[in-house]
Amino acid sequence: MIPRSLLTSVALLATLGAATAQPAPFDMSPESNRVITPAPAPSADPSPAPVQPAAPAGFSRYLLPGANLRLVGEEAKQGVVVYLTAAQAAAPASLKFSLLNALVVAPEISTLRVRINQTEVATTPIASSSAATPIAIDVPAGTLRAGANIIEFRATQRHRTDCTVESTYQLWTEIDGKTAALTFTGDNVSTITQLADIGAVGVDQTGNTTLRLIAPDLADPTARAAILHLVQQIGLSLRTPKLSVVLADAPSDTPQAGVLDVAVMPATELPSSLQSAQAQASAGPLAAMLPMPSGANTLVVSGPTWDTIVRAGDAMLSAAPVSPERPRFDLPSPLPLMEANGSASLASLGVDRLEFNGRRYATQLQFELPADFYAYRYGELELVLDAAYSSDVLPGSEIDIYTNGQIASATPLLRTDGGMLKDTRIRIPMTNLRPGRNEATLAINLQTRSDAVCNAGWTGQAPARFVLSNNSYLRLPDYARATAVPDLQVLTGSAWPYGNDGAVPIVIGDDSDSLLAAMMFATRVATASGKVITFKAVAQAEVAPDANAILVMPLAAMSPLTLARSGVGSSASISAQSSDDALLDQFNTGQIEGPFSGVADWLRQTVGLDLADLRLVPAPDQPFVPPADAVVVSQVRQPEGGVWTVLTSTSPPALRTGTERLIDTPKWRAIGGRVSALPAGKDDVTVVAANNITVLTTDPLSPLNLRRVAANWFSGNILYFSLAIVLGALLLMFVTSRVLTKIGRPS
Amino acid sequence: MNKALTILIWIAISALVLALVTVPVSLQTHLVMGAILLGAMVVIKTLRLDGNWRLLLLTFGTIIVLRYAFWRTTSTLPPVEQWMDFIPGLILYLAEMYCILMLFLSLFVVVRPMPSHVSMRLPADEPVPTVDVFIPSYNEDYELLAGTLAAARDMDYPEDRFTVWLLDDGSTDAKRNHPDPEQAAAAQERHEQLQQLCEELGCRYLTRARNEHAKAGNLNNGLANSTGEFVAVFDADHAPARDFLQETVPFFGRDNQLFLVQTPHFFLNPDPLERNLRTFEVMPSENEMFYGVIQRGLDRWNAAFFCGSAALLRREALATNNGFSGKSITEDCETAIELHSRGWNSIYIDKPLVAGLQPVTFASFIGQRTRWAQGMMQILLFSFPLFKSGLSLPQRLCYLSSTLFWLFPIPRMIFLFAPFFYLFLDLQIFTASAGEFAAYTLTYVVVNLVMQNSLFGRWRWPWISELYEYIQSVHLLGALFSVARNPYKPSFKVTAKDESVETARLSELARPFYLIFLLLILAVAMTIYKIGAEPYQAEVTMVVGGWNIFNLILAGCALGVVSERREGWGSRRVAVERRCEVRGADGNWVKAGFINVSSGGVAVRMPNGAAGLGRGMPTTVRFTPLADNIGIDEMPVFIRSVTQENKGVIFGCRYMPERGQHYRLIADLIYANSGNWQVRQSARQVNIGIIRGTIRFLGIALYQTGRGLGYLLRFGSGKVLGK
Repeated sequence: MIPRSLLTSVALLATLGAATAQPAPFDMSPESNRVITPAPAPSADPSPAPVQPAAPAGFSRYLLPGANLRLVGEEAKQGVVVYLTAAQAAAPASLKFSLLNALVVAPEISTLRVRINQTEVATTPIASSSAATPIAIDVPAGTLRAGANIIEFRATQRHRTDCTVESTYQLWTEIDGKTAALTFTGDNVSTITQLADIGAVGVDQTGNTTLRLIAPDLADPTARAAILHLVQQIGLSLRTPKLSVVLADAPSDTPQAGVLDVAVMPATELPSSLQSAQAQASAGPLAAMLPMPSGANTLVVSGPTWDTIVRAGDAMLSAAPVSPERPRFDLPSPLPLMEANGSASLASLGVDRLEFNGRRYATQLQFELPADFYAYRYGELELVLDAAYSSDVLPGSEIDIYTNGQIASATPLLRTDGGMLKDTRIRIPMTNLRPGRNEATLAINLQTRSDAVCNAGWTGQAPARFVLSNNSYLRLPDYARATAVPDLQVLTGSAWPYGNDGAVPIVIGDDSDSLLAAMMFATRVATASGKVITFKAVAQAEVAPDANAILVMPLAAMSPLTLARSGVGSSASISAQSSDDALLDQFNTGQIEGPFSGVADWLRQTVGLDLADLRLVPAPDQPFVPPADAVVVSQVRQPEGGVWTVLTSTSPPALRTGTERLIDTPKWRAIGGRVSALPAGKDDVTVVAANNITVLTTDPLSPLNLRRVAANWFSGNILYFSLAIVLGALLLMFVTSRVLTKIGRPS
Repeated sequence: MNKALTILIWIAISALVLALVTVPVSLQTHLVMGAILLGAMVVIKTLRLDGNWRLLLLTFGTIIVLRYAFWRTTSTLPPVEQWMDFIPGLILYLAEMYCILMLFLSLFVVVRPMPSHVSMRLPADEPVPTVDVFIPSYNEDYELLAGTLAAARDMDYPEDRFTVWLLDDGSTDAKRNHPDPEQAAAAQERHEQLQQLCEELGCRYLTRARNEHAKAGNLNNGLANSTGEFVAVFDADHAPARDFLQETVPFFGRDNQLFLVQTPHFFLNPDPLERNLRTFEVMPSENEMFYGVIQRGLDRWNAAFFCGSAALLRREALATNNGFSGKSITEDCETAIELHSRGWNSIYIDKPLVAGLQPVTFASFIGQRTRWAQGMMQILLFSFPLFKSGLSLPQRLCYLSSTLFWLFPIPRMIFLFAPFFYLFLDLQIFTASAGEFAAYTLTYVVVNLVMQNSLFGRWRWPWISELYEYIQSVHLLGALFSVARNPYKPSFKVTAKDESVETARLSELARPFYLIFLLLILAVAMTIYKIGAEPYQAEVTMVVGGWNIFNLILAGCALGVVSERREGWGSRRVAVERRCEVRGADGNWVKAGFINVSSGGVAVRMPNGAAGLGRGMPTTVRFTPLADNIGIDEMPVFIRSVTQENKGVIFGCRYMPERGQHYRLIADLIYANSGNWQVRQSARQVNIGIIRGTIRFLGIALYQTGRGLGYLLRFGSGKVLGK
């Protein structure tokens, strides 16, 4: 978010310029949709404007932010967000996709319903187990609208024969990303003419959004900082989860799905193909979608100087801001920020009221936690449940809650005669919660009498046996507020500690790969956190160890000093001895061997106690030696106080390609610890947890928060708690002994 | 450092520790911390470290208990909306919190028990103060009174400086003029017999017009008719040792504000539990915990209180309170709290100086405890100790502890029935996972055991407190509610102690114990059924079922307590070694020696043969009494048994007292040496530890369950199954 004050000052400046000089006003008030529409036919330079591209008779918009969309289980719901221009929304449209499903899905009782903006537009049986079936649905007029549209696929699937909970895992229906598209007919439906519509760039067949960056030589630090800032803003405005950035010399020849050409340069350097924007750009900040002969969507961000270019970027973000009405492509359901002591009803989290006759129901929900959420070791949140189940339901049924993919709580249904769950509290350990976006799954597994019998066709006929009110709600306790460093999760989820600072020093390798990696990384941080980090590009030698900084460069480009502070070691930099150790240590699993391994396992399984939590003096964090061509993110808190995040790899191309793979959402969410590495050719992120952690608090520490922070810290430093208690006890014992000599009858 | 500053620092550090204790750390963190502290406690206890180590053990224990209380309060109560779970859950919670409160109060009381006071002698140059010895009696029989009066007269104190008073409430004017001529005649006969006894023994006899205000009124009547500086009170069945006055009177000279010197009650016979479980000779008696450590602890805070007997009081202090208080039926404690609140002091001397009898049958035992419980409740209601003005803060806490203790039947019954809520009704009254239960509740229970054992282990073996509480609770619960309904209703009932159990039988109060046992058995069956039928909650069922089984063990043991063994009274013997002579069949005196004595008779060793005597023959023994004012040294006896031994024989003789003086001779034998009693007490005051104690308890419980069920089959047809 751009601070309000900055916004107004930019707006002021801009209106001033407009009033004095320009006939086409440069209006930046965020409410307005009129932002920077270049005059369609400026008299000064009429040449580019009249050239309208030959509008194709039809135009397809791909929909899915991933390669495909899978609906798994008896009841499944997945949605995507599609941004449309006003022209697209008004045009006749049809929704096309192809369907493939598991063989065991019973076609006569399984249906797929499609909803657009809460209006059901189609219901189709799920009967495509042999081959993908193409489906085309005419979208009723008036269903689509300009801006964000939510397209939702809801599958109700039942097994052909099996009535067990396990069988429901075999139920799936898949929609292929290559085929799922909205097709519009009419003129001018393909081009984006307004900045506010920038989200309509959308995705390509594989779910990617690519930014083709046309920029002058980017050696100038001011230019680098400005472009880094701008790319983040574009990423946010686009509402894409991840943005690939490539460098281009010239505008595209043809329009391509999911690709946005962006020309960023001072007015004087604009190439001839973009001359139409030059006049305005020379006068002041300009950010505009420029109609191009090729029909490709082209954004020009320009101005007399790099400073004004930054302001133009601000204007763009205010034209297409981050707001609850403009969700990210992949996050159609609400994403509230859960404050301490906050609560949110399931309805407000996008969960519908449920009447269920199946065996396993699972629904996803999500919420956001602040960067200084620090209660993942001790606290519990509550799900206060209003639900009921019929007498068909047997004990042994369970309500399970998963947080961020890990099972967090399992509550058996105990009453055997059907029951009401009124204000039933399910306590959910916050172990897997993290700053930033959190995903939770509420799953209900039902064992029933009638399922045990499982007559033919019963999977479809069973009467409703479980009802869930969406007035049920999640409630968070007053959780501890602090931040542990290093913890990459806080950065990848909340942009901390860079999001709120002034200009963050960034060191970028001299090659263009490093710059592109930096842009993609920073943009991914922005799309995850909603925050734009302001950078100032500095040289390696200039970055101060007491400042929070980001370094993006290949290992070879690092000076020995920088390398020593990076938490990463190149194999050459580590002394022969320690690499020898590492060599010998490579088979060490970290598990305790020998007679006590049984005890250790038992402790871990029964009480969740990990013997590693029992150390008094943590082992030093050894530099991480990345495998060849792996991309590595490392965070180190310098002894001087600065938090450095290093994005590196063994070679510049590996850095760029690795980063591009890393920003893919599942991998991005796997980043954590002090070092995370994505080896070339693998999809699993290796996470190295930090042994030495510093806890920082942003606000002055209130006694209550201190208590909660202590709870979390002690829960990870178990022996220190015992030590503190023993010391307290000793102190108390001595002073009690002293008091006892003063009071009472002397012996 | 001065006192106020030290206390301020103590408060500050306590607050700090409390803040640390209430940090809501994870389960694992608590578990590790608990294990470390518990380990340290076990080491301290095993090595028998004392002094500050003992204090450290208590501090560690306190911390674990506090953490349990914190967790229990914040995480385990069912939600209020589910009132079916919540209400029983809250009741159980309050019961537990009461136990924790009592633990901390008793911790405060016994944090540093007073060591024994060093005996003092009266200064030689000062006048010896005068003492009135009151022996209140209501219905005790002649023999018993004769023994007690004789022992009192035998006390080592200048003859002219003390007077022994028999305060007879059994033959008041009202009783002698009772409308029922039979009762009136009995009272008249008693009146005349006792008057004569007193005359023979040199005691004063006093009775009054009407039985007003029970024992307090009787004692006050004694006060009104006497003038001694100090008043000693002995129950009719508490015979003082010769040195009672020597050991107590001198303390009053040291402190002008001293109103009470209390000494322990030492019993020659077992209580019903000890008798029926056969633990009297080996295990410390129930009251030894109170007199061995709690009164000493109270003494530290100047809060040792009057226990109705075996005490010496200052008349001047009693006068400020218009004598003994009689608002409650425990006049002793009430008098003490009143005088303490007026600034008077008390001390406690941990040396048995009286030997008494305790109730023999279970029914009279319960009767006695009912009086104590009801009386303490009255004190709690009439003058709530925490807010009683005039008391110091420690005294308030001490009296709070002493009175609140008697609420124990309520939590004990709650703990007994709590598992039923889950087992029979499927209510979730304690919301915790099995892991949490293990980490918090189990450590708490073990720590509690270790603390109790290190505080009281010498005087109370593991689980015996629970047993005593349980056997009383069944009947005391109703008594407590009756006080709550009408605090003025309970009346003083004199406890009978001279009964005997001639034949083995079931106690008349046994029925509820068998019913409870049956319920618990049903609950065990339910547990087994539930584990099989509901495997998804087997863990919780096993935890609750385990608790139920503990209750079952306790209840089974109690069946033994209410199955009364046959035993005549007066058979408990005290070893003595004194020379004597026995008149042989030929009339000559033969040298012999006493081996042991009891209230009924004496064993005599004849080293050189039977001297012509045999079973069933009367004879006379003579010995030199310790008291020099008895006037005779010969006592008639009757030989009941003869045992051969090497060259000699041992005669078991029964006393055949004919005159008052004979009772004095008997008293001289039995009560001469209080050192004997102490030896006997300390022989069984051994801390056998938690593990041995638990095993032993399990053994007793198993055996007693069988015996109890056997008695039910033999004697239970009419009584228990209810007709």
